[in-house]
Amino acid sequence: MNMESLELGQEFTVKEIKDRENPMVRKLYAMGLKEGKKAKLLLKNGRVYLLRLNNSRLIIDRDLAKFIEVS
Amino acid sequence: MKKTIKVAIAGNPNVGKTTILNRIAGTSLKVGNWPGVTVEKKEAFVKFGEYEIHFVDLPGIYTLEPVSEDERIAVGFIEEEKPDVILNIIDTPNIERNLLLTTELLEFGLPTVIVLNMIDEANKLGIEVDDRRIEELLNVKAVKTIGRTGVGVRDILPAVVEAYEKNLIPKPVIYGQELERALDKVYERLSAKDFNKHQLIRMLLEEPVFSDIREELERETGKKAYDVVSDERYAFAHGLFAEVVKRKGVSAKDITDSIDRIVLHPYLGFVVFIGVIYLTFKFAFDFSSPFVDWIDGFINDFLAPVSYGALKALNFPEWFLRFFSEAVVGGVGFVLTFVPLIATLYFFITFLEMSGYIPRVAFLMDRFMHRIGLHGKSVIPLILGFGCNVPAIVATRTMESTRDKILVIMMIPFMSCPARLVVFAFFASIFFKDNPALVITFLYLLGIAVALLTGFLLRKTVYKGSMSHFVMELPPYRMPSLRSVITIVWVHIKDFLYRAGTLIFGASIAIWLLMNVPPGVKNISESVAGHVGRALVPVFEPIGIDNWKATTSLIPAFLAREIVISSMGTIYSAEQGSIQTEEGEEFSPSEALKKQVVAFGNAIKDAVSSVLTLSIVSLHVEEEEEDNLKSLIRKDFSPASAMSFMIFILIYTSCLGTFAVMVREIGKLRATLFLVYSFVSAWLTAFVVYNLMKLL
Repeated sequence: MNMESLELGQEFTVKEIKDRENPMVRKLYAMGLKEGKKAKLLLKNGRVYLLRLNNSRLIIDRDLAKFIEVS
Repeated sequence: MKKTIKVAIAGNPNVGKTTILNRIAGTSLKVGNWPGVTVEKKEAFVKFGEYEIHFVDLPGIYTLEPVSEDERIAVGFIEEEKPDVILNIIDTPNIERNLLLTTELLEFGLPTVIVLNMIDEANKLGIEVDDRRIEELLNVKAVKTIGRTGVGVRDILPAVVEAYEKNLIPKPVIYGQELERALDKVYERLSAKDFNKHQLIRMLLEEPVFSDIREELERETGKKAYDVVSDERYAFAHGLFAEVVKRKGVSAKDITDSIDRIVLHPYLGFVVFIGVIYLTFKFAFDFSSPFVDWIDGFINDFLAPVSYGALKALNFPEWFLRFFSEAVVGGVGFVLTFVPLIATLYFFITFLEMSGYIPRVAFLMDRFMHRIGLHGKSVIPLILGFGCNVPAIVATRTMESTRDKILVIMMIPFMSCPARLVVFAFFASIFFKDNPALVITFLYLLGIAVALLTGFLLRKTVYKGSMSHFVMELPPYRMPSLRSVITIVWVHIKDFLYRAGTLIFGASIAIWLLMNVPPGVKNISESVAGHVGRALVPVFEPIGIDNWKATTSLIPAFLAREIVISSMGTIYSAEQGSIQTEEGEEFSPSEALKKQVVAFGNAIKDAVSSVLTLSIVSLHVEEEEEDNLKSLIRKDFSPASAMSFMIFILIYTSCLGTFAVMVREIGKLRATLFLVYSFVSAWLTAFVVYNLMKLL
């Protein structure tokens, strides 16, 4: 499923990230968000999401989140 | 002669690089030509034993792959400047992710020191890292530190020297056999053989001559060559993580999550944001105001008469005495009184940035910013612009999209900086005594409005197109070490003092000379400066600035805005004659010094008591006697023309530093067009406000 359907506070596992050519997707990878990783949706604010990944917190926008399949 | 060891400091953003460099370097830290916090090239020279160690802080990056300009700067530095040692700083709580950059750095085959920073936070999370195992596995030096308190930082210098002296080349990074085979083939084909693994990988991925090797690798693995490299690097980093981390800790709920629930709340967050901005300005103004007054008194009532008396006793010629009181005291002395204001404003902005609050504003403000086609991250350089436009423009380098970067750079100069505040505070205290706070707030808001309008117009005309993606890490809240904050504030103050001693002093001399040529000129209005100023009057007359003294002072103000006041000081005090000790009054240096000491004590008392109130005390009505300059200016301006003058200073990018950095970041053509745009919009806005105020 898509990240959009996640509830606040819900934990999820990254199933697939599309478009690995995209530099921003590459940056996401370098920031540690990749297939198999567990993360948690902390907050939503308009078109941005705040995620918790291990001990870090990442902000990503909704359009970029569309590239991420979660389960 | 001491031998120099060149050290590149590399690490992810928010790993405490600045704090560690501050600890190692102390006051020897230099921030290029531009003071700032996160992105520019920071350097320091530290003496240790028989060596002089030259530290260069690279931008905070997650990977060496070129995603934005930061990565390019970092790779460019390591490849071209060839550091002797790489100092890789790791945020230990997030060591797994940090080791990706470590892996990429190891590919360069340079002596490396790994600093495991924030070891205290890691321990709290149950993460324990075996530093000896890291040394053994990689043939590097490893040091554990807590940058904030300084624990372990003293071990860094000996480790750097040891890595250098023993030429500790890390063990080669070995990837999967398909990739290694492909890299061997690339290497075999090269005639020169001094390439490191990073360069070989880049050639494999990018050079057209190796496309056959690339295709073969893709066939063998069933993946794109880029993905193969990327996966192999992650796999290596992960393997390393598994080897060196003894306990893997569970991500525990910490105080950051609880604070974020309020600070990042869609509604409450705004209340907090407005409160934080209000308190920042309140503390900055109120705490500094008594010290500004004290320095003013110290210069005018003590330093100036003492040195004037000494110069007179030494039989210096009359013209030199005039030069001293008009250009040195009237010009530079005046600008120096604003050091406390600039220091406190920088203190709070640096504190907010290091505490982790400013990045949160990006998350909060995204809802607004995306309406003008920018994402929340662009708010950060805009906020830094309140401190100084120059580092704010440099800070746009972290933006991945060129379009966003240009848009934000063209908005930053409208964010009012302390230099403009100097002018506002001066005029508001003369013409808007009843409500200076309201006038200054209006001017700050007007600046923000012009910035937003500029962004909106550019987005609708020149820079159309879809928005770029927004990815950013939020650091946890941290109490910044006072020492780091003060070091950074000191770097800014040093820069300001340097400017006061060079640029502002130079401008004061130049304008003083222009006022005194042709030699023997009796009336300043007949001097060269007077003629130039008068020629400009017709341009400024429609906006209410109709006297040559004001227009003349605008010319040197292009160097830096605060010069407008110092050159007014020079022009007016020269016209009025020197303003030193009053006739008939005995000046006793020891009495005056005693008075200054008492006044300093009172300044401390006032500063402390005024910050305890809720309103901004320093902007309240002050029924004090006007000094000469203020009463002279009162004669030449009306409230409407003073407002118009302040608006012109606010909007027109009258700052050589800002213009220079804009040329560097967006090119001469765009920077010049922007300058023209800022002049025209400044003139038009001043025209409208001036005429409206005249009607009322």
